[in-house]
Amino acid sequence: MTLRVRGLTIDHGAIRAISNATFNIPQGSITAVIGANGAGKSTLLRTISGLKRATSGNILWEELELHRLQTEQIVRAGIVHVPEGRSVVTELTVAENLALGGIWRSRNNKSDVLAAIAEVYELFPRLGERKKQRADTLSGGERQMLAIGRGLISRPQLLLLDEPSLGLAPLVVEQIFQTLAELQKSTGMTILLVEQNAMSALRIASQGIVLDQGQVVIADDARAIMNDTALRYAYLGY
Amino acid sequence: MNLINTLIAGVSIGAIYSLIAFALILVWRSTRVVNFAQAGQAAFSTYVGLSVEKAVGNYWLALIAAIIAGVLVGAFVEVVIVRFIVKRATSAATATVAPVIAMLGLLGIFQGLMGLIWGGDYQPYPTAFSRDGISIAGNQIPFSRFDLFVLLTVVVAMSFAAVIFQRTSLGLSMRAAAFAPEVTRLAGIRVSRIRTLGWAFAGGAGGLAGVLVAPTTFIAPNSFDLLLVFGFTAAVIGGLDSLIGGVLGGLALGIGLSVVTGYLGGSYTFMTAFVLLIIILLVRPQGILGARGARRA
Ligand SMILES: Nc1ncnc2c1ncn2[C@@H]1O[C@H](COP(=O)(O)OP(=O)(O)OP(=O)(O)O)[C@@H](O)[C@H]1O
Ligand SMILES: [Mg+2]
Repeated sequence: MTLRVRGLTIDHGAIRAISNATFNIPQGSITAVIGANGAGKSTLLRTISGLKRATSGNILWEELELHRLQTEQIVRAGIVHVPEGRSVVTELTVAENLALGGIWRSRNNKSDVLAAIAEVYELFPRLGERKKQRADTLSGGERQMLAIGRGLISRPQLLLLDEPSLGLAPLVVEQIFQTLAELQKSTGMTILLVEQNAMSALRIASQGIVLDQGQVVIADDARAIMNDTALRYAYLGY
Repeated sequence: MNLINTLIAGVSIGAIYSLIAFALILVWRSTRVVNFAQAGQAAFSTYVGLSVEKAVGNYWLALIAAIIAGVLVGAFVEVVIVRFIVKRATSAATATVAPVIAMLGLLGIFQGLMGLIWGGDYQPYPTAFSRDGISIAGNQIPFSRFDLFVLLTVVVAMSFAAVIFQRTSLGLSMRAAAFAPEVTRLAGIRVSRIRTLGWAFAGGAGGLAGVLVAPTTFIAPNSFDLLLVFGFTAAVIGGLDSLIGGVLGGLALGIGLSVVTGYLGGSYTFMTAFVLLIIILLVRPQGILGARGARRA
């Protein structure tokens, strides 16, 4: 399953957030999307997951035209978005937040939902120790783990992650990135990882896409981007 | 009238305020709309109950018919009207004002419609149980078998709601959708369907409240307008976001107003509710009972 984006343009009223973007996300790998604040990274993910409508262009998931579908249908097609800002339902407990990610498929796959929940607790033992705790009492790192965990319960084929490292201590960031890399290897899922933290993201990614003011300026091998000092200086600032 | 009697007298009407508060809060949580049309929806449902009562002469069938009518009208209002108003009213100014005006307009439409169908006169609504005060050790207390029935019915209805909210996937979806609709959609839940169900449940609660209060107030197209004010006050006491807060707010208001009526007289009741409402909105808009802990349910 390859995600193909063709001539995608997205506007917020008068502001053009993404203009004429074309790229592929190959199956079974991590692709890092990097770019400065306001480059359009979150807008891109929100459009793939159907929260926002594109102005023009196509988003194809094999034969499926995602740009015509509702968010709920896109989830059912195997694409799960974990948005910016540790998005969990703060009024619910850890266990309830995870259960939420499985409701849509629990009628037919009850046992697999339970298995997925058990796997998340194994992946993030800190969550397992806090099942009954309300999400608003979790630390930032735990909350981010819960947000990612909620996404995993849906058993995504494509996971869209928006800045999982935002505001977390370097050690926690390293831990989450390591977990993501291992998770990708063990499940074979595709991960589209949006990050400010360009170097950490590129290190675990195989491809990189650099966005600059809504334009895809580079779509290349992650290692090539890391090694190109001129490019790094121009778009990543170091 | 001694104090205990006065307190007891407020319990069953308080339970009815709880139902209305529950309905208003459910809708507020899912859609961020204060449903002023709820008074019209409840009256409409009660008229349906009355029509069934007149046709088949069975109180219980009429009660069930009113609840079902409430559920259907609630879902209808959300699907046909509210959904579009909320979607269209995107600018900050219209988003806050448009739903309020629309709900008031809808209340007017409901009342006009009911006048056309059932006429504008006050009609009595039957009860299933005696409305004479129960005698305990030779003393009659201001609490009838019908009051007991009202109280138990509300307790059963609220327990049923609590089980749904706390123990089922549907309840979990409804709570999640109320507090974080976007995350809930991303979790694969059809939030618009959940919203319709919220309006339907609220409508059903309103229909039940209508049948329970109509023997006291009688039924006319606008006979529940005051009930709406009291229910809204109860909801605000509870913090507008907490179902448990609203239910407790209803009981507290019913009992409190009964004390006012008992000691100052009936003409002060309505004024007291309004003054209370304004004071809470000014001083403690998060509600008296709307503490964080209560928000979960
Ligand atoms: N809801 C919105 N309404 C209007 N403009 C918006 C909205 N969301 C984003 N924008 C604008 O679109 C552009 C891209 O925003 P976006 O959030 O996609 O950037 P980003 O790359 O995710 O930035 P960051 O790294 O800061 O999260 C910005 O100029 C932003 O101001
Ligand atoms: Mg962003």
